[in-house]
Amino acid sequence: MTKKIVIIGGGPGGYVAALRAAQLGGSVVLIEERDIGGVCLNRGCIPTKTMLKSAHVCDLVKGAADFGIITGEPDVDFQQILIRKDEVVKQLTEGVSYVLNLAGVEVIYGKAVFTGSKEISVTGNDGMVIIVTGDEFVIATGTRPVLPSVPGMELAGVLASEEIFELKEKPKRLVVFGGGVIAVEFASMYHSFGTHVTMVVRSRLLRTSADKELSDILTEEMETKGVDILLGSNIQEVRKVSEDLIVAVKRKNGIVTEIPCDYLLVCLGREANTKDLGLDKIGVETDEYGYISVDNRMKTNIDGIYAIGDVNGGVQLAHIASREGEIAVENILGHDAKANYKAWPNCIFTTPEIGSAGMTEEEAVEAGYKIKVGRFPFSANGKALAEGEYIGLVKIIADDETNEILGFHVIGPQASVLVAEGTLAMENELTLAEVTKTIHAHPTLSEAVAEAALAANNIALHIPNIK
Amino acid sequence: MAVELVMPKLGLSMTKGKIVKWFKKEGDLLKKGDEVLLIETEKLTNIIEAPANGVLLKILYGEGEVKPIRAPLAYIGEPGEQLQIPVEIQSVMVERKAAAAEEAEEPAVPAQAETAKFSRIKITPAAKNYAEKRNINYSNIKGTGPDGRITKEDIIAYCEAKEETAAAVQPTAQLPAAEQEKEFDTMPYAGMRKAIGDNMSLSWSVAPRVTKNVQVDVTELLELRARLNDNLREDQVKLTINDLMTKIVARALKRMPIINSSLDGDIIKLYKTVNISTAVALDNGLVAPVVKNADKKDVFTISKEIKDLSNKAKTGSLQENDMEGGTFTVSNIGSYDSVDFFSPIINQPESAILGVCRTKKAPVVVNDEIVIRSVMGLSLTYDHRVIDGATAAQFLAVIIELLKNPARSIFE
Repeated sequence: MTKKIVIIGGGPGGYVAALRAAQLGGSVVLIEERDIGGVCLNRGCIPTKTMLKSAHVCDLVKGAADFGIITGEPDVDFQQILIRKDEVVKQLTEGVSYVLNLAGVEVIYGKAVFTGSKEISVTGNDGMVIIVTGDEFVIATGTRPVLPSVPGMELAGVLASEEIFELKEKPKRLVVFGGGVIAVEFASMYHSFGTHVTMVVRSRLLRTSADKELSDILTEEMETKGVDILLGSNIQEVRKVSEDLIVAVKRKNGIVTEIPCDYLLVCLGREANTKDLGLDKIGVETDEYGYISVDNRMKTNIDGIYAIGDVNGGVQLAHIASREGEIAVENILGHDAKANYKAWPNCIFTTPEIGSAGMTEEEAVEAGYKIKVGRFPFSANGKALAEGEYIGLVKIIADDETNEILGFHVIGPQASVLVAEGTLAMENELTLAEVTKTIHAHPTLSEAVAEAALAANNIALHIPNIK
Repeated sequence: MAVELVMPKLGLSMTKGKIVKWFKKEGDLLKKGDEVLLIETEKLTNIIEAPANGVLLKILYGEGEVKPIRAPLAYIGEPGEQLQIPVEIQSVMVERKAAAAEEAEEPAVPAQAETAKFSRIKITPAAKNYAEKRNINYSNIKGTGPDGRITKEDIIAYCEAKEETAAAVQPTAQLPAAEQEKEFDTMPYAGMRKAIGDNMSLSWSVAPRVTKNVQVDVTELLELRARLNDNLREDQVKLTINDLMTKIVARALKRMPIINSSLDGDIIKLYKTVNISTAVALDNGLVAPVVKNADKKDVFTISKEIKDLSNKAKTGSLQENDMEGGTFTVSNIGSYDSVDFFSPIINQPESAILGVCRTKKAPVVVNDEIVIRSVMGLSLTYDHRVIDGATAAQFLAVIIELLKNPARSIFE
């Protein structure tokens, strides 16, 4: 008997789960409320990286004279930026729909609500209601941005992160509230386009997603470029005064500054999309923030119901959602699958990029390890110099006793790609020796990885060894 | 007719052994006494010698296999000889060939004689370093990583499981917090160490033991030794206190058979031969190979035998014969010059053990005068189920008597 699997949510968690389930012989129904591809493809990862590319081209052209190419100041055609972004998104979402179709996955558009433990009612945009039954269910409804309870959040011009894509014109002055990945990427992007950007950050940049050393380097770089970054600051209230939004910021020293702007982009946090799923009706347990509790097989407390991706409160990254989606359906279809990855990469697409996997220095020390750290700056790497992108470094953290690689952090050109080597190493419990023994091509940025591994043992060749 | 090379029984408690390494391969020409393979038991690693001349015709089991004692491991005979291999073994061999063919792809890694590294074990580099730093033998840990690779988590789980079973067996007192924070290195409580521990625990619980100590005058004994060692023939080896004491103890045992005995259920076996187990200290434990018929052998023969057994013990080449049949044990720790008396534990299933301690010069009363003599401590532990206090005291008295005229005691 073919198992009928119903997946709620068509983002990178849900659609990957659907494809994998179909691959394993399941009969799959995928329910999507809005757009296939979810936030990631439509209002998140893909559109931001596409627009960031436009920003990079802008920066490259601005600095072209250094490379001997004479262009003059570039103009920014914001409409074209948006058009290109829409084209890329469309290509991807259509591609995913195509693959889903080819795999025999039935896609139903509408809002899903559990009416029983094996039954969902799906309400389409036109009001039509369909009842969908299944053997087992995978909840992949993700999260949505949440606005803090600060006076003025409801004003026009205050945008939650996804809403900024609705802007059809480049803002002149933008305040970005938040210091996380989404905040820095938008701040960086709009600054490149010519917007005046001020960041209001409660602690420091990337407090939960990057090693402090790297976040300090990024902060300095962004400030040098001209982004105003107010650390240790909070927004007290937002007011509308004629055409402007006035953002009242309480600084670290207690003084309140008022910043006029056109738009306030809030990138503070996200909440689970579980409020109106009917979960209480079927007894699925959620925590106080609405996240669904699961075990390492993605099972909820109710037999036959799984939850994957952002909605289960784990690591909120698309690639984790995809892996969890695979794990859930593999378990449903009789394979024993657990979430037991040793490391995963986390990438930030600012300039310079950041790519991180494993423990930060602080985390390793707190976990009780005696560590050794190897650093190699891109300013000593031939390719980075040739590219003109030499800000940043590779930082490898290893266990002093066994030389096991515990953390891998890169800030600099192609960091998001270089981190793959680190993730591979940690997933396979490799030590510094395996990395240094492997030949890395010259002249590439990857040599910086091998040198950082050497530096951890104080035997780097292309930089002096301290100690 | 081909000769079987079997798994030997090395010691009373051995029931099976693991083949660690074959030194020879099929087709090799062997002389009797050649080293053929290395086996490992709980207590020791031991080299097995060829029992006969001939060609190693067939090896039945491979490295890593565990076989019961007396199981045939290989056949030695004339080249081209037809072997009569029992049917059960034949079918096992067929299975093994098939499995070997499947594994032929894997590159063979040269095996080493040490126990933990005799085959290629799949383990992540970090886990390997982690285990080696802690002296953990990972050869028997099941790996849960890709391809059955042992991961660091597997090693940690293995250690925790071992701790748990150890804790379950013996309720340990809760260490005060300060104690728990001390740093320490670890070594495994396994193999020979554990076997000794188990034996000692058994002996401790089985036999109600009493130890009697006496300081004996060994001045004459030392003088005799010196004289003998100055006049050795070419083929004779230097005599030690232990050699001389072994001979003297053997004679004393002949006079008091109740000491040379063993309690077995409801009978006490009074052994007709005197086989003295002599304790040999090794790096990681101790063994007690046996000098048989010590009462009948002259002291030079005893001396040579003890030296040979000692060497064999240290190189892991003790054979089954060497370990069996002990009726009384002499445990000499005099060479450390640090113990005057102690309470040795009986080597089960014997009834008594004599500890021989250090010799030193001491003031002694002779004919109401204080003189300097060489003295030595003797500690006799005996099983009170078989031997009473008076009997034990009597035995020591016999030894003291014999020591008064050592030349006569040793050579008559």
